[in-house]
Amino acid sequence: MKQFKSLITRDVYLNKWSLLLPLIIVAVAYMFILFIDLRWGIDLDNISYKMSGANVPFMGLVGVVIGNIWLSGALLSLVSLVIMTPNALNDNIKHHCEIFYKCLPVAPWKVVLGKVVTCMLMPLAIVLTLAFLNTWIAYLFLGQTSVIALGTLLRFTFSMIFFSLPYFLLFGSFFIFLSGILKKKVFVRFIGTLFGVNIAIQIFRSLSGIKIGTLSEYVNKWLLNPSFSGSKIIDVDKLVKGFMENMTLDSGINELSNLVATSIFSWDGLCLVIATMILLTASVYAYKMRKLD
Amino acid sequence: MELVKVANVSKRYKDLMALDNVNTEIKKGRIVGLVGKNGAGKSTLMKCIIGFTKFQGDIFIKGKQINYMDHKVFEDTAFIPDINSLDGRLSVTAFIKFFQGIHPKFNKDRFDKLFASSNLPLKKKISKLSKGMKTKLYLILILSLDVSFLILDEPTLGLDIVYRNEFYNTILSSFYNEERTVFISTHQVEEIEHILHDLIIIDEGKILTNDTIDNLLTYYKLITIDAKEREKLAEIPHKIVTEGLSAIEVVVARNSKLTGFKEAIPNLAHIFLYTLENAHETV
Repeated sequence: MKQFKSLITRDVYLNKWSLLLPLIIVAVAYMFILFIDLRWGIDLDNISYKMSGANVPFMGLVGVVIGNIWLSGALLSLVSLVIMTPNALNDNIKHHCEIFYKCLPVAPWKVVLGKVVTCMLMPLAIVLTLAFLNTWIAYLFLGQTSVIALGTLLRFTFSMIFFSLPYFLLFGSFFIFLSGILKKKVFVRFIGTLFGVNIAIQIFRSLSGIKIGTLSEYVNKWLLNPSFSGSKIIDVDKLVKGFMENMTLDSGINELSNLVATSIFSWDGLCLVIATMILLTASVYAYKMRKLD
Repeated sequence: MELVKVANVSKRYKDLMALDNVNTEIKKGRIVGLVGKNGAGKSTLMKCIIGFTKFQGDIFIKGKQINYMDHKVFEDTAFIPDINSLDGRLSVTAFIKFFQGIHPKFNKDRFDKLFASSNLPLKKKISKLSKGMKTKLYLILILSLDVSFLILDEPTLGLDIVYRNEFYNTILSSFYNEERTVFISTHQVEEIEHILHDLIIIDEGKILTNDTIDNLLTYYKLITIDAKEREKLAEIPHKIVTEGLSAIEVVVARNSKLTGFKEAIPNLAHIFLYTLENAHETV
């Protein structure tokens, strides 16, 4: 446990700016709003009008909450996936200290698990914190007149974590694995390969006339349907429809929260977890057996 | 009692035979030097001992077989490969805390004692430290471990003479005791000569000598002969170590036929040169 704590402390120290970036961006956004409010004196209470019978502060509340959740989630996904995970297991090579770390009596699985915590779970925790904070602030300013309860909103906010979980698990473990087998430029090489294969498929398609999907199309399909079973982990259409139908009711939002939160506990969700475990196990093996320069 | 046993170990890098059926051992409680020219196989042998490279044959530390990339070997063995392998991104404080938490055999009391006299700047990043300071930090951390085997692969490469001297003296005074073994590779044998108990000489992937310093000094003698008499050397194995206009200094086997000259005890550098020159002769 002491070793694990040390690994995580070091990883947080080395990735502190990557982890803090979303918090900084959101803080800057708030400061910007505050500046506008102080400079031009926007009265939020007066931004209220009727539109198809809906109460605008309530709509605003829902919009801001969802917007904030997705803004936070998207930023953190970006930070986590583009900055942290592709360098998770090979940054020591880049900084010429791989041999020092290999000379420590630390099991490779602890190293990989430490990376999972720092590069995947911590960003999720930050997403959640930001989302809660945003929900609370939005409720403070816009929710006073709405019929919706704060608890319902927080519950909904929490359930949204499960929405981004498949992406975090898949991309996170995939990039950690790549960082175990590739020594540098993982993300660039990944994008380059994807781009190259897509171009090759496009050329093949136009020359042969045979219609096959590009790699991006398959990846996109896989993200929403990791098990290739035909069903999606989260049915976006159903979700949106349900949301639109139930948005004015506390119970409707709670039902929606349950739907989102439990959708991961399915056969497809299990396949996703298994795929993640396989990738992480392969990462441990790749890290352990990697040849030293 | 042997701590390390190397049995029939061979290692090939493409066309180069880095280790050629090496059989040797390192005894417990000794300071052992591994010397050889650049590219003789020193680093490869060390990497094999700690499992950092694949090889043919068997290596045992305390009777346990060494496997490729097995982190468990470092539970009781410390290895200093190169001072520049420290993580430059961390501050000295962060690095110390990390090391303290990561190594189960970290001795805090010994560390505090060693660190107190070091004058190392705690807040500075490691990348901003001078080479001498990095050496000091690395050494203090490694010497704070209660491990029984310390392996040093050309640790003082690029350091000035003051730090080199301090480095080896610190190992002797703060780490070594009869329960601990130190294995040092260098191609500058003169800088470790004063602390060694045993010497292993390696050349072209083969072990030429593995003996105690006391024994080695009895096997050879350094003689000074008149330059005009150098033809007497033709028939016997020798190594000329200094050549003047009137006299030359030559290392020969103590039991050689050459007698009647001024004799002295050779140093390890002389013995090393002699051994390389006469690799196929037996003393």
